[in-house]
Amino acid sequence: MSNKKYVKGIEELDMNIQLPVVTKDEFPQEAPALDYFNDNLQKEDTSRRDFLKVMGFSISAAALAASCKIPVKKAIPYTFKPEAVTPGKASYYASTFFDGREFGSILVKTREGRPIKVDGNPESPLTKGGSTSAMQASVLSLYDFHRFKSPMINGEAATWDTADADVKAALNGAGRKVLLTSSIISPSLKKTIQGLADKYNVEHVTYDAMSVSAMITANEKSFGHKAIPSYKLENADVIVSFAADFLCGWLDHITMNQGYVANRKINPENPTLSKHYQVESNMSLSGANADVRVPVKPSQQKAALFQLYNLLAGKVGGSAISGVPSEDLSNGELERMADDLVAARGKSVVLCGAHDEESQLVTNAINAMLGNIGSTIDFNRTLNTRQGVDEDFIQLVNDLNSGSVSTLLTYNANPAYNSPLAEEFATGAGKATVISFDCQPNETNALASHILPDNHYLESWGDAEPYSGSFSFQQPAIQPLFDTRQFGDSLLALADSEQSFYDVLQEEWAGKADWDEVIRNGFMHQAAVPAVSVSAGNATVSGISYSAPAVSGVELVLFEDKMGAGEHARNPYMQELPDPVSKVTWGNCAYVSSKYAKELGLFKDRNIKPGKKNHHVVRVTANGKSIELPLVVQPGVPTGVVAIPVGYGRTIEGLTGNETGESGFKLAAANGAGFSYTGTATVEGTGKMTRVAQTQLHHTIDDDRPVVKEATLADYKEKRNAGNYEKDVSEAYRKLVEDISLYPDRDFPGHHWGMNIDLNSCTGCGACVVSCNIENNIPIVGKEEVANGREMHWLRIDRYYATDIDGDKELENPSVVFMPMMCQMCDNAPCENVCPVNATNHSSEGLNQMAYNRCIGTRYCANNCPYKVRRFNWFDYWGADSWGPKNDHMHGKKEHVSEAMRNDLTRMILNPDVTVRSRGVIEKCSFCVQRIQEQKLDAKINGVAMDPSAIKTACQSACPTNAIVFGDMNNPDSELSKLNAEKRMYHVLEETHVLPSVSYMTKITNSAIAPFDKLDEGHFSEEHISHDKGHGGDHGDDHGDSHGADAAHGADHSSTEEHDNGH
Amino acid sequence: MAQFESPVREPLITGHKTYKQITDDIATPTEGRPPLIWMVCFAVSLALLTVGVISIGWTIYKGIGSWGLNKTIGWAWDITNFVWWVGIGHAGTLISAILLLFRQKWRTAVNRAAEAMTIFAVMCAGLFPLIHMGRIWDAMFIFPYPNTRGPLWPNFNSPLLWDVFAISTYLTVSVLFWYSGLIPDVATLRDRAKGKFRKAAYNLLSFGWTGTAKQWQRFEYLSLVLAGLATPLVLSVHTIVSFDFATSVIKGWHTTIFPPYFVAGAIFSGFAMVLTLMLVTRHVFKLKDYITLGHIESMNKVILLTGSIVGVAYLTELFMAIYSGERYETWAFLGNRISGPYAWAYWIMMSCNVISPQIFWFKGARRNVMITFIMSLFINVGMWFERFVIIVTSLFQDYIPSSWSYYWPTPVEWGIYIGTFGLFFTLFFLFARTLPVIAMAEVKSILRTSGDQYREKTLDKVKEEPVYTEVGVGELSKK
Amino acid sequence: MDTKKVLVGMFDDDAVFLKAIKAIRSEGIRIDDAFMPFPVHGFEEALGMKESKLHVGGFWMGLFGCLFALSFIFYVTNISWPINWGGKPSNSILAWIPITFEVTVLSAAVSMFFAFIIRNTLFPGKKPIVIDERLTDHMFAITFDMAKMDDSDVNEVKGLLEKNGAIELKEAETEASKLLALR
Repeated sequence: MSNKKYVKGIEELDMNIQLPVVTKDEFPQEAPALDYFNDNLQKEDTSRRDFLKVMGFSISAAALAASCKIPVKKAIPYTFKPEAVTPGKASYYASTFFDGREFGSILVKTREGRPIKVDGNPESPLTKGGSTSAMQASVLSLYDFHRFKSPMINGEAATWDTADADVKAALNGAGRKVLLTSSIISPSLKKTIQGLADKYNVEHVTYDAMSVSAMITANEKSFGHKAIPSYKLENADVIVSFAADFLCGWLDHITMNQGYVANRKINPENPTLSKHYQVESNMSLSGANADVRVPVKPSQQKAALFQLYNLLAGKVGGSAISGVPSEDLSNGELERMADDLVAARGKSVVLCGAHDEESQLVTNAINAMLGNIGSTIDFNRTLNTRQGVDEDFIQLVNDLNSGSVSTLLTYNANPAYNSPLAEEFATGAGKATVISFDCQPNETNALASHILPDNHYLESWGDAEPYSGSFSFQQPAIQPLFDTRQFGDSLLALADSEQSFYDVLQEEWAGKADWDEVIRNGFMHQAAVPAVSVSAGNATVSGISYSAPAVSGVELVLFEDKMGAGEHARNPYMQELPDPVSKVTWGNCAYVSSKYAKELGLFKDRNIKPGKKNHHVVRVTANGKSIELPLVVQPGVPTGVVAIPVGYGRTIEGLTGNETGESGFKLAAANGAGFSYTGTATVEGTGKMTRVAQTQLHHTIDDDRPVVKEATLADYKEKRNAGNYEKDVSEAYRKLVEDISLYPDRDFPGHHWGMNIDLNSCTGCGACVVSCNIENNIPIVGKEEVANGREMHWLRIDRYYATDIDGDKELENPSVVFMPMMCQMCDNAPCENVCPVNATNHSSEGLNQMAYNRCIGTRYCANNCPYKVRRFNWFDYWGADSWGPKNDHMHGKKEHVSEAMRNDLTRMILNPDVTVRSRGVIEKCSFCVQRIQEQKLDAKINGVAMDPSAIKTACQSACPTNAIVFGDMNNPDSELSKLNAEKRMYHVLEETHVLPSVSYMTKITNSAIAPFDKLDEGHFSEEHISHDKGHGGDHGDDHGDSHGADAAHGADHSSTEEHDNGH
Repeated sequence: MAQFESPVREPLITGHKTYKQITDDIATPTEGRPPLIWMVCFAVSLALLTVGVISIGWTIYKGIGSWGLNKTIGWAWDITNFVWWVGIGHAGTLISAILLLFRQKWRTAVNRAAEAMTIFAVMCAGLFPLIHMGRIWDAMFIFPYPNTRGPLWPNFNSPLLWDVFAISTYLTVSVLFWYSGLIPDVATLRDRAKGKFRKAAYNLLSFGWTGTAKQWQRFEYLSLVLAGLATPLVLSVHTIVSFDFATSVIKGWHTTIFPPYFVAGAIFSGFAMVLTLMLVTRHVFKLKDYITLGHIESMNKVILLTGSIVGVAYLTELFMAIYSGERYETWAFLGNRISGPYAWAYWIMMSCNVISPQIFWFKGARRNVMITFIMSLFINVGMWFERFVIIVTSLFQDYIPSSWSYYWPTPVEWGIYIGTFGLFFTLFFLFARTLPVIAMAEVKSILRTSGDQYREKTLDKVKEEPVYTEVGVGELSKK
Repeated sequence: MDTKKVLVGMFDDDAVFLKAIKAIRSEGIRIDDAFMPFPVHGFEEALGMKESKLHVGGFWMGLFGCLFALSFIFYVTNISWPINWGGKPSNSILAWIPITFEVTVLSAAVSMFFAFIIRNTLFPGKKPIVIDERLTDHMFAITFDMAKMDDSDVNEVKGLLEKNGAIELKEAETEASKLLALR
């Protein structure tokens, strides 16, 4: 090659290619990718070459469009390739997720500059790669076109200069100025707030929806620390929880799940299991996972807790609480609880979720008495995500109403929706100038005259200290999409600071940490934190005596489910994620027991028809306010209790539209000291019927199908295959099986992908479902379609109820098993054989694969799938269809959620590695084949052998408890092969000989008897289900007809009596 | 080949017909202005067809989501209607082909209409596999044509592909069989035709048939060979349709009894449909001399036989479900069919298909036109429910309880189903107005052996000596 | 269309018609053709016709269809693109039987039908030479090729026809096609 330079034109000689200077914000303004967001190309600094390129492209695109009728709408040419962006290659950024309630160290996956996936940061010592459904779903909120796109003054778009000037004027004005925020865990932001507070004399009030205020104040009284300790469930052999749903968002979802499951995994060498008691009034996720669940009314919770205290005091020695009723509320479980707790002193923990200081004080006394402080309860690292104290907020509302506050600044707090004082707050706020810094519209900032919108968290810098001494760092993964400004920057601008928030961060960490390193890692963990002295001396019950709560009639329980306090209620992924236990999507319901529904005369005996209006609408009234909700029978809810999840019924428009239930917060009360989420209610029928979008309906199965398998720890200790059948692993047997088949088995000489799911580790939280949705571009279908039985989830978590109580037709206290179910990748796949056009077939690595473009949609494969995991695109959910805009209105409704998902901005969430399926094709779990291929390609490029253990499927990487293991079955050393060799391993519907590649592990529980453990005991007979725990005298009247199909017994929930293996 | 024809048998053609009268009787309905009743019926059929066209258009425009299916139940009315229509179609072929091979002369009165019915029914049936596809515009993927995708071929293991071959072969062979039989009759109409347009039209359709000896000889060979091919074909088609279910893993589908049971069911429902139509045609077109009570009774006997076969099949399924002890099988039959949410469908099927046809053990009922008509409707309903029961009750609560669901049709599905009636009757009414509904040539060929006037003559003679007559159209009288 | 002149004897009864044919043929007179509204029983023997070979063609085409289907499916599943469908072996002949059968029947039936119309010189829109319109209704006819008869022959035939029950005699043009010739 010569050194000659070839030029096409004179311009090129002169051209001075300048790479964009990488500035601190990493995303150069010139990056052409951002053209996308500029409506007007001319505003850009466009060179003549760019112009020619764009014109050339446009002409050919137009020609293409004209000839092939393929609409080419937008194109993003890389005129200058940004640093660190390789087209087709994902970049990952460590960052931090915190929505005011849930925290997580995350890895943000970006493709071509846009974040498309959020996963747990596996290296973070705090969350160890775990994630939550809300965290997984949060990436969509970045692309929510309802976000504030610029500063707003009285609903009109404004410039930052005017907005700032106005706000400064307000801050300089007379009267009190208050900043109302959710819990702030960022040290730098706290400092910045302090800066503003100092300048303008602003008071800072922290408000948490569903706060743990009572715990904070009780801890101050008992231990001298006004804080929440960290709970080390991994150290606890006995866990007793009083209405604390620690597996679903109570305090800290991820670490609680991880700590809990650490003691639930079965080591076949030395099997141990923690024992989990749950005393509660609704059917929570934690209750569903408990070994022993004690359903009590809310008014009895306190009595039960005090009884436990007295029992313990009697055993350990201590002063008893007076006035505690002697009535046995738990069929003797409290007694057993006390025995277990005493036996595991120092290795146990009692949790209490009551919004009641007395209960918390007694809980503290119990934990102190058992010596749990310092072992399972750690005040050295306090949890900072819950700082709000109800009294402060109540005081603020009073002050607002008295007119003494002139300016109210709000950030990430939505009391106008989720506080019991929402109405009072709104009235009071009307008397002040309200200024909001929120990123998205909500009920509170709807009251604001000025909005200085924050960036989305994926566009922001920050730091976080969720537990004292443990830090997590936040970096933007994308340039702000809109004309927004980070909250910290806004505060600094208002304080007339020269600094940016980034400067504040660097200043904060200068000398403490290597900035580049912590940003790259995303966390900084101080291995040793200064020990905090805790004196448990005050953790006593002195001054406490039992007084019965004043309730009459029906009792109300408001609780948090996956939707929390409604932070993500406008995220369609969260709405479509079924509630783990009730399987209700898109909105909340009033949950009652079947007995109570019958008492009301509103019992619908056959809830087996999806899409039918088969639920009564009831009006629940409490505290003078009422809401109308569908009545849903939920096994496990005590009779006489109506349980309502909060977090639904947001009134501000979002991607979800407005069909999202009613706000349970309306029924909450605030007494002088704090918020109350229980109380007396009335329930009355409205005469209306509605349909509830449930992904799982109620059915009876009276036969013995081994879908989920369960055994008790005691049985497992005796026999490693307890609950499972005895596997014959001999060579002779293997040969026999091979010979029985008409056809020889196919070989998988290279890799043979498989998966193992541990039913013991799965708590049913649903993070995997959302992760799968986002990774695989699974469409959201909306309430109507879910109600029609057409949700598209490739991965679902099946919930099975079981009861070991003879005659418990009402299923008053069932045990629950969760079973993640996805494509089982059968080697003898029944679906493949029947496809007429070869759209689904088997890969040489054992994958059951789909060629979407070949599929003509006969649905034969879906019919022939014994696991029913195939999903059909009934409509054009993603707008992927070549039929184009003609097909836009799915149900003739423009506001339908799938319409929102077809928006250009929302579609930025799509994973480019996964085909977006058009209408009329079948889709299903692919074992994240794109991730397998990515590993293969990387190995190829690097010239090394592929490491199959580096492949993590989306569900696996999301799971906080590592219940899912993916791997190569051909490699005997893989984690998967080792698990598959265990005697707990089984395949679902193994007898159909479809040879699934997904295996499950028998669930081992620590209860006295597992209802599913009768596999080897012959056929169903009365004796096997006669372990009567004495739940009332209401059973035993009609077991005679238990073999008739459900027509005979009729009751939809009686139905769920599933004797799943064995008889 | 001689055949003893008992002269005491009742005549198949009554009214002392001559050849000329036969031609006149059968050809007249195709000539002149259509009667009012025909116009009304045709208008109604066209209206129903319009409903169907709109519903199908809607389905294709909006997606299969406009039906009542869901993640668990991927087939319901679509395939139910498909199997039902195919089953109805089978009677035509059976009457024409099998009865021809079995030398049943009574078939000559009904075979033309039955064959036409076959074709129209198969057209209605064929519609469903097409429109039930999510992407009908890619339907050509199902054919093995050379392509640039590899070439990628269809899956020859898939029963659905077998179906494609079976249904298209069946339709083709039925059309050929029917049309080749029509050629001489159309020539008759041509030669009777008065108007110029009429003449030209029938000339076009008659292919220039003149009825020479060689033409008739080849005609008989063709009929016989096509009948010989169509007989195993008709059995194979419903066998293959049953393979759609029998080769699957779904309990209630996965049953080795399906092929014979489906074939019997097809004959059963097909004969019922033929009866329904012929009883009406017989009445409207005044063809009582050709479609006699003897014909009706013969068909009712077939219905009784096949209905009983179907009944035995139902009971066998139940027995196997209990006897096998296989939990999913037991559930599918005991939990989902005889009881459970869809028990009503099962019991409609049972009462219409098994219980009510038992009335045909009585000769009086067999020869009663009204009872026969009502029973034929019952059987049509019952056989529709048989397919519905097989498809939906097997799917809606299968292996994994978490996915259990329920199905109910939408107005669009109703519209399509109604529309197939529109298509069927529109074609049938057009056929009845334009082509001879009874095979004239064939009826004429049996007049001498089965006409009442000849029968009476031989009856007189038989007192002296038994008479051997030679029979039959389309038979090779090889010596 | 080639035509020929024929002498036509018309009958109105099939029994008489058959008897006449036998009688005339026993006189050693060559009948050119016979026309019937339906295949009168026994006309082949009466006319001394040879067996048609239509079905032989059908058989060979059916065999071809069968072998073609089998070899094509074998090619597709084992050579062109072997695919693993549900763990079944590529060479699973049992699964090919239905399609092979259908293709066999289809090729036999279609080829037979086309052989039928081609051999009978039938095609849509063909303008036939109709000797008498009643021949597709209720009359039967025997024809004799005028070209092969001299006047005395004609008279003899006429006489025989009348003797054997012909109700009408006439001369007409008819199609002269080898394919339709009585053999």
